[in-house]
Amino acid sequence: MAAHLSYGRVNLNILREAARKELREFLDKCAGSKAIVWDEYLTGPFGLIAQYSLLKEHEVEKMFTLKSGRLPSADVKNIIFFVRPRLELMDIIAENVFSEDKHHSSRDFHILFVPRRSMLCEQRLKEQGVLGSFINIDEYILDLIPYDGDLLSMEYESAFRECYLENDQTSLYHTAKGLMTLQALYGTIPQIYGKGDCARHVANMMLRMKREFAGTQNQILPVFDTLLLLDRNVDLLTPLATQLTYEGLIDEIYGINNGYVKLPPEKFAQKKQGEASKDLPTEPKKLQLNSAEELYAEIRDKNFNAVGAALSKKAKIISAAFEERHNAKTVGEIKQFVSQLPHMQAARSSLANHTSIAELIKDITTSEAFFDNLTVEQEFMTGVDTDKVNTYIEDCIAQKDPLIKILRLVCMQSVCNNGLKQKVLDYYKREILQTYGYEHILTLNNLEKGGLLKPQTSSRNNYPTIRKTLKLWMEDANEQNPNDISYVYSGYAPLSIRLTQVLARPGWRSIEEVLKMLPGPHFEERQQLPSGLHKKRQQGENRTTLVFFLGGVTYAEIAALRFLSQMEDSGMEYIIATTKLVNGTTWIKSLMDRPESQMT
Amino acid sequence: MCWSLRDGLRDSLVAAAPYGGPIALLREPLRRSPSSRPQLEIYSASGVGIASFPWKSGPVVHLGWTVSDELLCIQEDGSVLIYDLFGSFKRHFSMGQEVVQSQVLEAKVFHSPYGTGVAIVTGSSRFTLATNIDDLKLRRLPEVPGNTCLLILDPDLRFPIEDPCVLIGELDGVRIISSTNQELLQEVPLVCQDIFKIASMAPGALLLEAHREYEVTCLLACAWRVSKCLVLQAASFGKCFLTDFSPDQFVSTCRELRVLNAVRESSVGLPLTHAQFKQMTLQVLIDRLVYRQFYPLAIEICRYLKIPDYQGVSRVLKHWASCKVQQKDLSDEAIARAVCVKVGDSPGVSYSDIAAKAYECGRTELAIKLLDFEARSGEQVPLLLKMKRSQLALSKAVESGDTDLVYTVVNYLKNEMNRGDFFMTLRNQPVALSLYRQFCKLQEQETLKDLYNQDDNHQELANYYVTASYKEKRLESRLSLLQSAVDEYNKAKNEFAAKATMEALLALGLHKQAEQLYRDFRVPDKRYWWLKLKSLAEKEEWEELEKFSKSKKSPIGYLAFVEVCIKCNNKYEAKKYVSKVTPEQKVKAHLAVSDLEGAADAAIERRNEAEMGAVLSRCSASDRLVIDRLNRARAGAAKK
Repeated sequence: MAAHLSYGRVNLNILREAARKELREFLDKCAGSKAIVWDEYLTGPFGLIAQYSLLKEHEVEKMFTLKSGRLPSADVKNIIFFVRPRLELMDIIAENVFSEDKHHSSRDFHILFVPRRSMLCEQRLKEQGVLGSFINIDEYILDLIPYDGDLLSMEYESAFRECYLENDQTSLYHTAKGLMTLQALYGTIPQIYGKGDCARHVANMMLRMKREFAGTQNQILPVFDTLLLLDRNVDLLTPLATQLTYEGLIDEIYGINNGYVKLPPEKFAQKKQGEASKDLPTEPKKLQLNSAEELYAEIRDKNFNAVGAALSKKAKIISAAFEERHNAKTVGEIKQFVSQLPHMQAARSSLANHTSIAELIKDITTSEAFFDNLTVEQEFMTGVDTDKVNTYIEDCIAQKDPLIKILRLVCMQSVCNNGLKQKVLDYYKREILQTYGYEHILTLNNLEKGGLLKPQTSSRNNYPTIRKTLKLWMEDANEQNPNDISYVYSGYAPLSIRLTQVLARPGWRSIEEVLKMLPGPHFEERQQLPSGLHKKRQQGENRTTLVFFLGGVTYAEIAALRFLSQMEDSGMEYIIATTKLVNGTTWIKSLMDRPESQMT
Repeated sequence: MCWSLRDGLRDSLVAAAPYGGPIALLREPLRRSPSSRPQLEIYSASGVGIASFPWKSGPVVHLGWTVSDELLCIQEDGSVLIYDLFGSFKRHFSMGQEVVQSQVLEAKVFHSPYGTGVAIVTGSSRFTLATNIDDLKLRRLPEVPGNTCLLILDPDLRFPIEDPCVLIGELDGVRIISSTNQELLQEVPLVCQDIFKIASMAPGALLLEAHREYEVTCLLACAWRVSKCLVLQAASFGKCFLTDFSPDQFVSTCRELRVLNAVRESSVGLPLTHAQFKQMTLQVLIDRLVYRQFYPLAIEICRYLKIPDYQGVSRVLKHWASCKVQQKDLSDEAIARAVCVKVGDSPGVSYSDIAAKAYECGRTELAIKLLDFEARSGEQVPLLLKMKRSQLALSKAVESGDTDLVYTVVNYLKNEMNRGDFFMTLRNQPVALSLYRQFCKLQEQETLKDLYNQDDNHQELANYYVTASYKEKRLESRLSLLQSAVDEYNKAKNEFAAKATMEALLALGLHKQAEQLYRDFRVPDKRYWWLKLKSLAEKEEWEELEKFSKSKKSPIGYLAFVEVCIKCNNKYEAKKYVSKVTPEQKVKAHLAVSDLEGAADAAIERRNEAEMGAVLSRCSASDRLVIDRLNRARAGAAKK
């Protein structure tokens, strides 16, 4: 049981339990002892569904990572490959199967494709002559993985690239399927809104799939009132900006993967009493981050500038709680104190961890480099000198700062200027190629194809209109006690979230003009509910909207939605779903092409 | 019975299926003269003719029905012919080669949990057994000595019959069919005895009596059906006095009885008792009605008994539609329309199944029309491929959004078509084309190039050459690939990329040192300064650096010099450049070399409060003097 999944408005544990049940059923299909050979990419997402203990209960005795050559020896009856349907993995599997000693062992092979089996892969196995070696070829439909009480992710890293660069909409098919599964468990979502081509495509597929199930009416009372599908390319700006929430900064600086972060160990050295802390740990410190941790849930979405105060307040509360022991006089009182001790100790270690993390982050956010970078970002977002070559970017290139940092800034300038003048664009591109190497021309081409970088085609820059209409820049963002979502970027209100906010009130009709400036169609669809399932809303009961970001979402955007959920008068609760949790760096990285030189 | 048999049942083989099943009749089965062939007739249980045709095959020893209303005709030579309810031949099988010689003496059709079986005994007294004719496995039993006969007689039961007749064992009685009548002989169930026995004191009887008193007008007709009504009325009456009795059972029984009455109608002819009905289940009853093509009645029953559409109405419609598409006298148009009107989007009716049936009957056009109604594109594709409508299959696959399905079709097309046609087909389906490109990127680089060539996609072609050049090990090939890239970028009118690639090409071709020169020559001033500044500092050539700083006015300013020196841990050199820094950057420069006083001076001079604050924030307690000065200056500024 993953408790943090059931805290929220929607109990996402149901989804997790459904996924676990299916896993158990598959494992039981392969009777006897088992070893699992993992496509390494899958271990992270699977960790969110099932721990090793579940596998062990179903006779999984060994686990290996999929790699070419010979399978490690293991005295088990079944070898099960857990893989994504990728051709290159099929070749490795074929190699594994071939090198199996035919005379000395009689192990049964199985494949479990995640999230779907594929004709191409099976064809490949057939060509390799090993298809017949498999007793079971099955699929494990894991589309939406519950991440937190209000967060679902498909962990489909290449979705944006595939959709916008390669015109491959496989990820959208999985999205639609995932949403159908979700509706099967949580009821039909009566209202669907969307903006963008991919959103339209997903909605079309959903409606189509619903027709396919015509007649088998879903009798579950709908949990979600509305689904909002948003294309990432409707708002290319937000992920490029540096996130300034606590969780966002952890992700920007250290990277959060499948709910875990790896941190430099120095600050986490255990100081045992009477022992000099001479042996500094060398292994990175790995921490799980989710709302199960009370303190983290409290501070994750705060602007980083408000985290210090929150931590010291918490420190006072905890030490006060420990002081209570002096007041405990009677046996009863002492007993009560002791019973609370484990909880208090957990709180104290959580506090220590986050204080260390905050110190690590502070070292960076107070550096000049960070400040300068942020200043330029904010200039762009407010529309200052976006049409000229920016000297800061120039200097950074000259100093050979990390390429991704440069690309983030240049793309941001391009987006905020609705494209760059040809001369400016070419200048940047030339600088980048000459400094970082010619091979990056492919990456630059990709960025142009994805619309992140583009030459100005019309003389009219519509970004200022969009900024003003949607109030994307708030001069007096309150970081400590926010009253607007703009606090997550210390002034910039994420466009995607503004669209969400306006949809809830007063409705998109009020911003038709701006919607037309953003790419792709906007639309509304309704799904008929069987009579009797229409909700009778209690007085003051909030509506629930599922916001699905096609192509990725940042932690800061999630924080902004959580902020909206908590606003007293919003009347709306948001659950977030996405193809992948991203930040500017991981996002740009997914769009890069790096041919490795073979020259000797 | 509705039939009028000229010769009664004399000299005929008769088989009637249990559960009120149909009756098959073969007159003079052993007549061999080709001039007058025996007639095989099929009747419903009520004697309504369903089919009739002359028997052209060999002499028949036995007739029997399968559980799914198929007629088995077992011939003397051991072959078994299977016909459907309407007399159409379906298939045949043999009970073994040796039977041809020894001939079948006697045969029996029997039902078991495995299905319908056939047992024969041959002229050489051998038994052969097939337990399930749908999964034929012949088993030979050991020889049986003599002519043993097994007879079970119930001495108490006597029932006078005048006519030649046929007996059919039913679950709860015996059906007796004669040329004029059909009767059901049944032991009166215990519950009924209790109620109707003369002077019975069983609770049921008392209830009936009470009801009779209550409603005197009720007739005392003893007809089975009427009495049933009577009992029901009584039950309905009695039910009022029972508070915790759920009416559901009463209601459902009433409904079931009504259904049974409907199917007993002579036009339908399924005389079932309630017990038989319960045993055979409603599902099977519906199937039987469907076999007999009583579609409207079947649908009405489904609706009346409120069976979920999936198991009820939809199943009936599916059968109906499969039958409809076989009607040769109707046009494709008419059938498709009729099917669509009736079936609509009933759940669980698969248009592709219906279409497959149409295709089986050789009506491809009709099949395509029907497939159009199929909501699940995934279901359309396999049949379309089977019918060789690959283009249509491709567009349906694309429509479904299921990329694996698209790949399936693309793969099929690739093997079926010549390359030119294949490419043309893809060209009309951009989504499929993109997917195929994805595939080629991983698997068939050469094909990828051909695809771009075909589409005149010069930009992608150029990118392709760039990627290829990096995979190349030899310099010559690499250069020629880059040259191709330049050409393609030019064709794509991508001037920037063409030029950049040209430069890369030149750089690669030139000697390494020359390349550096070349680069230096081309780099913009600012970057040149940065490069030189950093490289001199890194090499710690401080004198050289100072000279360089004086060579002309630095385009990158002098703060950069300060910072780079500090980065290289040389505060001494850094200080040299502080004085050259512009006034705006003075404070920053002093701070960079940790000269707090200098910084304070500069900030105070500039009367810049933010800068003063910045200096203050760097002061520690030991910098008392500086702090005081700054505070005074700030206070002064505030007054003004």
